[in-house]
Amino acid sequence: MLKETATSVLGTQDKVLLASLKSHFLIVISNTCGKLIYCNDNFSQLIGLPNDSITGQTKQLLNSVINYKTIFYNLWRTLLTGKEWSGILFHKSTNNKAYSLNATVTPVHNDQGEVVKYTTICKDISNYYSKFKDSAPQFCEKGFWQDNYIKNILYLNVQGEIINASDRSLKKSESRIVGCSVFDFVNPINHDFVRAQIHKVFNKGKKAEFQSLGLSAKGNQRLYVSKINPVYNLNEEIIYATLKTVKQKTKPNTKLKAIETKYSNISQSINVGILVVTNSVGNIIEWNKGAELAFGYSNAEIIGAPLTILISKKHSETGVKELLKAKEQLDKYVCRENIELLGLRKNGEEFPLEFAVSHWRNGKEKFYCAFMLDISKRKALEAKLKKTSKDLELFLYRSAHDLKAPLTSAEGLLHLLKEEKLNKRVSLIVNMLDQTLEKGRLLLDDLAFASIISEKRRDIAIVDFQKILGSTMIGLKGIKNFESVAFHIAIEQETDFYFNRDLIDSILQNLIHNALRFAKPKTVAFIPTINILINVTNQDVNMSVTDNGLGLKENHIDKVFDLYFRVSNEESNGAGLGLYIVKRITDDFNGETRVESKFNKGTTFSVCLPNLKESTGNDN
Amino acid sequence: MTINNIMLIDDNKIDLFVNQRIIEKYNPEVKTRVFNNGNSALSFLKLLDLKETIESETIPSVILLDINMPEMSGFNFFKEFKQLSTLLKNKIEVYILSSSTSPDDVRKAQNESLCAGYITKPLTVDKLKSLLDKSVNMIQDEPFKKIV
Repeated sequence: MLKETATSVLGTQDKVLLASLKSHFLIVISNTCGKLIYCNDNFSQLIGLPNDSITGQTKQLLNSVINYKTIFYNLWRTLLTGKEWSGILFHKSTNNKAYSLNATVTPVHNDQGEVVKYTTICKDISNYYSKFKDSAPQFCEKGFWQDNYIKNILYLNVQGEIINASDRSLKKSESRIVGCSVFDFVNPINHDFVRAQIHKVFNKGKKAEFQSLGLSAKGNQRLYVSKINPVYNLNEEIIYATLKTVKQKTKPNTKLKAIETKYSNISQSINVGILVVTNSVGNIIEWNKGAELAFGYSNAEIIGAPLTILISKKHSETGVKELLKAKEQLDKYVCRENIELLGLRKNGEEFPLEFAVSHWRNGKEKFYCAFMLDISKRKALEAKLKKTSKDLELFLYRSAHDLKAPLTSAEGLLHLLKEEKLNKRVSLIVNMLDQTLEKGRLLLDDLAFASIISEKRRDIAIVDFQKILGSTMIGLKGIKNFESVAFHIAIEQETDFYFNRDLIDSILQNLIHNALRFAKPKTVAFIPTINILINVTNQDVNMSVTDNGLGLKENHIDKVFDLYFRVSNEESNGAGLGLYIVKRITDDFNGETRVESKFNKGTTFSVCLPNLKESTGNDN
Repeated sequence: MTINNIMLIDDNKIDLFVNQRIIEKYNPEVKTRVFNNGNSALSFLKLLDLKETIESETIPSVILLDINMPEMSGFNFFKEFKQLSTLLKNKIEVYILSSSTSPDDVRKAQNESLCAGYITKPLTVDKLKSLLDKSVNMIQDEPFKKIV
């Protein structure tokens, strides 16, 4: 295009001038988007690519090198106002050679005054430009540099530029390392860190180091450690810094890499477990396959999103609170139990999650890893189990209850039978039958009661121990030994006690009944005694029943709370349920039962139960 | 006020037999009328209610009511019983007579305004004595009796 225009505007004698221009300058024409539409041979030589493969590509010249953002910005600002821009551009060719170009970029307007293209005329001034300006960067071949990098000491200025090298070969070689910036050999992600390290050396006079990954000649990944030390002049000013790079020993490195690969593979391949890693503000930066499957978001959708997107909206307020609490505790290095909350899938479905959080530091950044398990199945089973055990309790209750009816009928008939004229033998049998029936009735009563202990939790009220103990004693009046035993009762109660009254009544009744059952007979020298102590505090109640009766053999002590345990057939007429009920109640309410006994001396049963002041009634 | 007429409502024939015999032992002059379900007992009471001139002897002064019955439980019986005229209701004391010792049942009976007391089976002469003899003396003192 330029050729045509030039030919038509200029006379034939000017063609010589044009040819000389073309041979001395680099000429590039680009459209408004920066795409090349024409370049001359000089330019393609500089770029190192054939002419036709350049055309159509984004202008390499304007593709700024990271260090020269300001120039690039300045250039485009000038061009967009429609003005011409002149200045020095730096270019790094495909073979890593650096060029300084004295360039003039001119916008070309059409008839309406709109910019349609840009012409760029440049002159390569690399050969003498760097002599004037120190900061002109130089580039060397990477492979060459890497091999020598570790053998040499490099000297850096405050900008991180390499101002000298200890090895002459590095200095003299065609692609000199002197003049390059150290940043050219560092992964851009780590530029800030390396810059800070250099800053530390120059401003604080401290030693610093950084690590970098590179490929060895054989193509293995290697870890390099670079140490930077300040160098002082006689006035104790830092004039430059030395950079010494050593190759990290290969073996631990490959091991490390193997471990890293292994763990990253493990975390990725876990399908059951859900792993989500977030940064310190709670945005997701990584997750595994299991998480993707569970939540239904794709990787691209989720990375960078806040963790709360995965928590049910219904639950989000409490859920987030829980999470923050967990985070706070983690920050204080406190271990925490797992949290249960409702997760939210992409399609809006909710599902229960168990949630464990851990965290670690990497430099200054904190990371949090949430390990979650989909517990829908477990939750469903839990609910089913709850229902089944409730059904079972109800079944037991109903059965015990219904079985009682025929027993009482039989008892009624037996009472009638007793009134008849019976001979001695029949009357003996009738009495035995009566006892048997009563035992059965008591057993069924206990069974029915044991099956509704959990139900009683709903009905919590103030407990008046004096009153309950009074009615318990009245209820026990007919029991054998009752009349011969001396009772000592002490109740200390400063504050209101909240519990289920029926359960307290049952505990006292069973403990006292038990003590009566094992009382020794009264003699002139011996008075069977039962001490009842009740001590109520704000937190709990301690009830103890002590007798001076038969006592327990040592091998029986552990078993007294077992279901259907009886010391012997002759001495006790209990069903073996009483103490089991006591134990069940205390276990249900996280209380405590203790038993101390000396054979032939007596036994003490103690029960400790919590004061349910706070949770009155709404514990379900 | 003397007790001369007791109504028994129970689905269990053996229990009815036992109770009748016990009442007989307690006082042979007391008449008993037995029903094996609540509905028939209620229709009998409704019939009494309709008759303007009832011989006071036919009106039961005490009803002993079982809880656990098919069709109509003891507690449902009370719902219907409430519909009867005040005149009749005032003459009758209804006691629950049940084998259940469940605190729930006792509490329910206590909350029933027309229920005068709770007796656990089996019925004995002693229980009947403490129920009927005392009810003559201290009817005001004890609005609800529990006899185990």
